[in-house]
Amino acid sequence: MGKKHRLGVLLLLGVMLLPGCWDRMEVEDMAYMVALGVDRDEEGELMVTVMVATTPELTAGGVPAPVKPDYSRLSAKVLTARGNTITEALYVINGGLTRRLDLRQVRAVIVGEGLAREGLEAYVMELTRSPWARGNVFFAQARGRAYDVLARIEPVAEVNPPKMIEGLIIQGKSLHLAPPLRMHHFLARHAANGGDPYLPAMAMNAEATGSPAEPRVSDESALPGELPRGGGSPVEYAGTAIFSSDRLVGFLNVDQTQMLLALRGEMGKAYTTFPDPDHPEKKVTMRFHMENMPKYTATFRNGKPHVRVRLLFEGEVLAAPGGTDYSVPEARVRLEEAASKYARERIHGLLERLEEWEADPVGFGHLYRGRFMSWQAWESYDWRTHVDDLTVDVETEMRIRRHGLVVGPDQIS
Amino acid sequence: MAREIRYGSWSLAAAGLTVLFAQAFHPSMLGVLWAAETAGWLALLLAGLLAFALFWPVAVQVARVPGSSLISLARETGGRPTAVATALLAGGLLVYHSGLVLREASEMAVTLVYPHTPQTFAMVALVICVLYGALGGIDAMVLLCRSFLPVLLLVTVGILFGTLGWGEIRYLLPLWGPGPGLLLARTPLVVAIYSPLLFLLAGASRLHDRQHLWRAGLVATVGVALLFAAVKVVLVMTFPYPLGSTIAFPLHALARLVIGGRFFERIESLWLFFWVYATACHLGAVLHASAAMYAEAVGFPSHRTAVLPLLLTAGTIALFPPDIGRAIAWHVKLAPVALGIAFGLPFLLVVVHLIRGRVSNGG
Repeated sequence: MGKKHRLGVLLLLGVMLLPGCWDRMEVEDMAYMVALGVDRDEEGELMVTVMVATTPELTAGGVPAPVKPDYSRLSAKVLTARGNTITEALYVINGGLTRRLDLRQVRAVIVGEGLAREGLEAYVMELTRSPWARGNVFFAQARGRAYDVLARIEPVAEVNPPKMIEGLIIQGKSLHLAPPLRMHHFLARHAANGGDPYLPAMAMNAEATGSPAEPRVSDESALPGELPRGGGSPVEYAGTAIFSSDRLVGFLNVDQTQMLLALRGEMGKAYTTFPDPDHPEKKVTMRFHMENMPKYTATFRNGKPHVRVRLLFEGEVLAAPGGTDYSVPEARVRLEEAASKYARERIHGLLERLEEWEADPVGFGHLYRGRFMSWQAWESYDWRTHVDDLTVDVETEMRIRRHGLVVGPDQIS
Repeated sequence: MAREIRYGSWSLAAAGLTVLFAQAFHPSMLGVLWAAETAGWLALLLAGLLAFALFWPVAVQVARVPGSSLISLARETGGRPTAVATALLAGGLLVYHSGLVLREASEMAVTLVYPHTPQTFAMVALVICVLYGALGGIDAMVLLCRSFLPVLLLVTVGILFGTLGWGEIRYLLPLWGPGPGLLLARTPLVVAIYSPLLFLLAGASRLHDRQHLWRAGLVATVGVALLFAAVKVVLVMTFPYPLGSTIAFPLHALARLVIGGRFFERIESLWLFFWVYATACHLGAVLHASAAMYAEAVGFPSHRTAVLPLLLTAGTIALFPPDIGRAIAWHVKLAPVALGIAFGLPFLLVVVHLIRGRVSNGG
């Protein structure tokens, strides 16, 4: 390459570099929005709540702090605005901020109950259309207002509210208190013709502010916002919000959430407590998980969809205060049958509730998609109109493999 | 005097693979597949095989004529007017294709890269194309595409693996999409995706072993068919039909879902970096191919003379569609024309050449 050519190449490369970063945004000019809440208020307007991380120790007057920042002083402010769309409301909030607010740092999106009952499609699509919001943000449904969840959250064993939200979600996921879902899951499951979406539930539990916990009102697993606990943050992350298409139709408790995840083949290690078969006044607590994926057989019976599902669980006894030695084979079989029956009843209860709501969060419809030769044939079948006709036979089996560190009855003497 | 470089058919295959696969970064590639519904992956595989079936006799015949290029085949078949007409049609198709790709690339830049400085990226893309097409030449193009291919494959496969956890395989059903009959009827239009294969026919004259030009075509078409099909499978699993057909930048949308941990959270930034290079390779190669065709047809000593006018033409075409939706629609509408020019025209030339050869031999 001659000298002239080299000069030309250098000039062209220079042209590439010249435009550079004239409109760059400095870190200290940005506001870090860590959580977004969307509600429909009493007047019918869209109300957007944002939790913005405040970092006074990190920078001072736009320049990095000369001393090591004190992370224990990180906190968050909750701001709200009204608008016709999420984007418009964010612009409104920007009117009172000295830093630029956008969606790129958002970790969690929480939707209010009123808005969700109208339908979420438009708002999820608005966030999907945005180049800043990402499909992998945590997505949760508030039982009540999203504003209350964000405004009332109080860190426990944490120093800042944003971390508290993330911690709640991580714990909910590992203990199967709520399904671990992100915004893209909602979008894809709503778009896929053959099932309905669902979301993890968050709620403000007014009773939880006192300590100790209030007495339990029933043996049933509680709905989100009603867990029998006291002290700490009033906000809890448990249960599932069920949608029919994109509209919220109801909430599941923790037990039903576990069974929903089991039917979907997504349940990890979960905890359950049920009556001791030998001492009905006592309760046995077990940790259990799925031994393998659920086995489905989908058929048409008299022209109506009929599904048989077989679930195989594996359990570990954590507490058996009745005193029976469940390591003995005959007793173990009794316990396995009781646990299996309990799970089956819970699933039946769940399916009854879903039938009442005309929702299919399990995705039974997808079992039938492959039976149609073309997409058009599947669309014209219109699964949604057949959800009512669906009948499900459930078969469950529990195998108890372990008994914790004590193999034998709870007897010291 | 530029150093003489001659490459083998594997190098040309790698370049062809890079140029064809770079289209996966743009919305129009998957736009052509809307008609295939949930069976887009199958349509791509069938179309790849059909593209090679049409390319193979042309590659064999081009290797036999003196000059070993599509234009020399046209000249052998019908003299200079046929060569000029072929250059106008085949080169014109590539320039039109470049124009629309340039527009899509600029729109992507406006949407994704520089929301506040769109003109900057358009200029950068143009500069890269000039560097590739005008200064690089076919030898440099082949070498650059070949060296870029492993990175391109690594990034794409990484994104696909990183996205697998988001998808559900049952969204792929029904496997026949619109049904066997309609799928087979719609597949030929998908062959248009493989139209930049014309690039191989422009570069054949510098090939070491011209007799194996068909091998470059086979590797490029089958390799790209498999890669496209893999992308389409993951896309439909992740963005179930019909949602997936509304996603403007499919590979970018997939990259945004990849979670590489907190430190490596913005995977799509990496993707965007490679996308620029892939687009440059793609545009540079097809612009070079069209310039080489025109230069050979009218007897210019070098293709470089034709690069600037063609680049300006492509840039002008890029400005025609009033919006990104229309740019994609034009690309989809181009499919039957691209099919006819990229595969029908060379095939017709081969048939006429063979008939005339037999007649003259018989005479």
